[in-house]
Amino acid sequence: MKNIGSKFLALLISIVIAAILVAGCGGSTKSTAEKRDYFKVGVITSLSGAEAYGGNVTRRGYELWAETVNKKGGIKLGEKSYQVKLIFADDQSDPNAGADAAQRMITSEKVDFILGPYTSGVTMAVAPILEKYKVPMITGSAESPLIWKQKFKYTFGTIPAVDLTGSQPLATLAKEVGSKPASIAILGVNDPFSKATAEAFKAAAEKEGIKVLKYDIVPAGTDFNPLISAIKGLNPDVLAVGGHEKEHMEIIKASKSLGFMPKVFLMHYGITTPDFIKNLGKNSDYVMGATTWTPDLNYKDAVFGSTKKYVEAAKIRYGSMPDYTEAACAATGQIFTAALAKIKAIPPLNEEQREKLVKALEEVKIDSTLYGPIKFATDGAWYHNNTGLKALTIQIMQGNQIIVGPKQVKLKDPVYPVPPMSSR
Amino acid sequence: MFSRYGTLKNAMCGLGLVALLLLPFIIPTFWLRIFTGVSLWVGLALSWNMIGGYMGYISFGHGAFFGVGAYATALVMAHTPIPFGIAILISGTLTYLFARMVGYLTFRLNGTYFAIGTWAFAEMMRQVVLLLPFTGGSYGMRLPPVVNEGFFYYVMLALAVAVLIFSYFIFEKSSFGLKVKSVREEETAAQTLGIDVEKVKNQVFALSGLFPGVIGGAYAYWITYIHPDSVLGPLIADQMVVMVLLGGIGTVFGPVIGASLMYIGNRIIWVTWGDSSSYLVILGLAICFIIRFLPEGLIKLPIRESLRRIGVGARQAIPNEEVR
Repeated sequence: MKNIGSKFLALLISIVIAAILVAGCGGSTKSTAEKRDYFKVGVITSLSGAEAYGGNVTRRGYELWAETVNKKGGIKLGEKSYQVKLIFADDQSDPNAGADAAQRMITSEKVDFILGPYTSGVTMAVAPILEKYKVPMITGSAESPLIWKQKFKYTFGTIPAVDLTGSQPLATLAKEVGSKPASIAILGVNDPFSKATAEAFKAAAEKEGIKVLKYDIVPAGTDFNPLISAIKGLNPDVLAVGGHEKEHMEIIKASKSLGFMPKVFLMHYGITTPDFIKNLGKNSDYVMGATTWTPDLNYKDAVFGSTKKYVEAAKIRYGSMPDYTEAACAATGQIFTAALAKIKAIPPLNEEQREKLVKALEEVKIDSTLYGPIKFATDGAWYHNNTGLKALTIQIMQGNQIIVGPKQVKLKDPVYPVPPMSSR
Repeated sequence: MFSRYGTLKNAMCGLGLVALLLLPFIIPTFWLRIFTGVSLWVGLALSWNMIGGYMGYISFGHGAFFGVGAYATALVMAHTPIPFGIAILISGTLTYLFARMVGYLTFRLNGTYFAIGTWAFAEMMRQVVLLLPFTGGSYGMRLPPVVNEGFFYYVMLALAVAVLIFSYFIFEKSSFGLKVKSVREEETAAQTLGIDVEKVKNQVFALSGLFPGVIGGAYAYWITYIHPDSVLGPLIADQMVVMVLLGGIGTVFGPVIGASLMYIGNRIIWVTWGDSSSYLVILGLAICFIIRFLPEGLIKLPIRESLRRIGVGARQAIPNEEVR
């Protein structure tokens, strides 16, 4: 047993040494953080793991904001401008690693504020830590309505929750086409986002007086063929699907091969991704969806100039068209800027100033950013979610996403009923 | 028995334990979180080692016990006034019983088939939790948020030490441990010696499912938000396996070393190169190298010889003492 004893001993010694080393490192960052003339901003997002793709979308948005602001001299407060330094932490798509990242940002890096995670799950794990240390965060991505129901004081979000946006296409169909659809079948994939989308479709259909013939939440990876043939028997006017581009592509393909053609397909999220349109070609035409933003919009913007200029900058920097999440992330920085200007707080922010910052964020009302207007709700089911923005109905036409509703902003009339896939 | 070295060793062990207990007062809260995570994974790796190491049955289903424990604690705490301490014990009991049931079914399988069977069970649990109406499905579950780094550190440390002591006495110091090892070495031979092989296998599996249940409960309360993908995903079981292999399978301290190094290593590299994901490649390569050159795990590193060469702990090498 001597053998085990000595190993245990070695282990204990190494743990203690590690602890002391670590304590030493912690101490050194503490002393340097006292005085600085730049803003230290933490970014917690999924750079690895299952959500790495989406995590990098958010990263691009945040990064481009910081680079652009710094090129212009920094965040201007009064006479002086302050540069922005982003500190990235990978949440590994795991709530535990996300919580670790939040703790590190706050207690070791001593950031002034945080730009938040890609996924709703990580956001939920990070939020309680922010509550404790009183550090504000805006997430430019998480869309689950669940977050806002928790009423986290220090967590804000720029993208309206899906239960706010999902109802828009059905309102368009009910009010802005010649003959309103009479019936609908709704499918939702069993992940938080897609399920909430399906629920939003259902609530909107019931509100608009469209009869729900079928409502099904199915596990990810389901074979859609049997579901589609069952729905074909019911013959609904609309088939609405809450899911991501992969499922939408499968459903369109299954419908085509089974000869099922509703008067319109309504799908959210993912029909705006290049994959969807490229993969389905002509069959992707006339699919309807919801969004909060398209690159065609033209809002004025304080940092980039306008939506158009932002889109160009993003295309040059990353070689791809930004989607609405990337745009929403690029807009988060200036919301903080506006709030900081209100309270005239210079870095580093102390607890009292961060407290004031939250108050200021609640009061901020920006009429125009590259992403659209920003106004956070201060009570109700969407507490601290951006409710200033109205959702859009889009329809794919010749491979382009065209805004077809609401009436005030539409670029073209919605097509309904749509021509069958076989005759295109 | 109490040689001078032994006294010194006991004193050092005591000192080490005191240091671990004092940790919350020395290090920043971020690193305290890391050490909480280390304790969590030490506990899990040691639990897996009971079935994978001592029993020789590779289970890929142990994530399920962790997840079921997490959900049990979340449900108990959401719907009853039962406090956290009792809730995690209820979780442990539940996963113990659940493991008995799973074991009863999967021990009809052997080797690879057993591994696949347990994996399928874990995946089944994930799907079940996604579909049940009272688990929140894909929305996950939220627990009352308590952010107290010190409290959770002590809870996880206590659990890890409990599993360590349990492993040591049950598998290294008791006749039951000998039975288990004999079953691992040769089932038929063990049977001819009068050992009820089925019973032993089921007991070990149930015991190795008990602790992940308790630890899962503590995790749920610590992180405050659980989701089928975060507590029932396949990565949890995979990590337990890798940690044990890294440290040394079938030993008491191998899993401790493996879990500590892998978790701390992950976080240190993560802090240093956290703005990209390239650190995962470094971590992966490090594990590959260790498994290639030290297939029995880090515990087989010749630390003792090196220490002796520089004159530390020379007395312990006297062969007579080794035999006692």
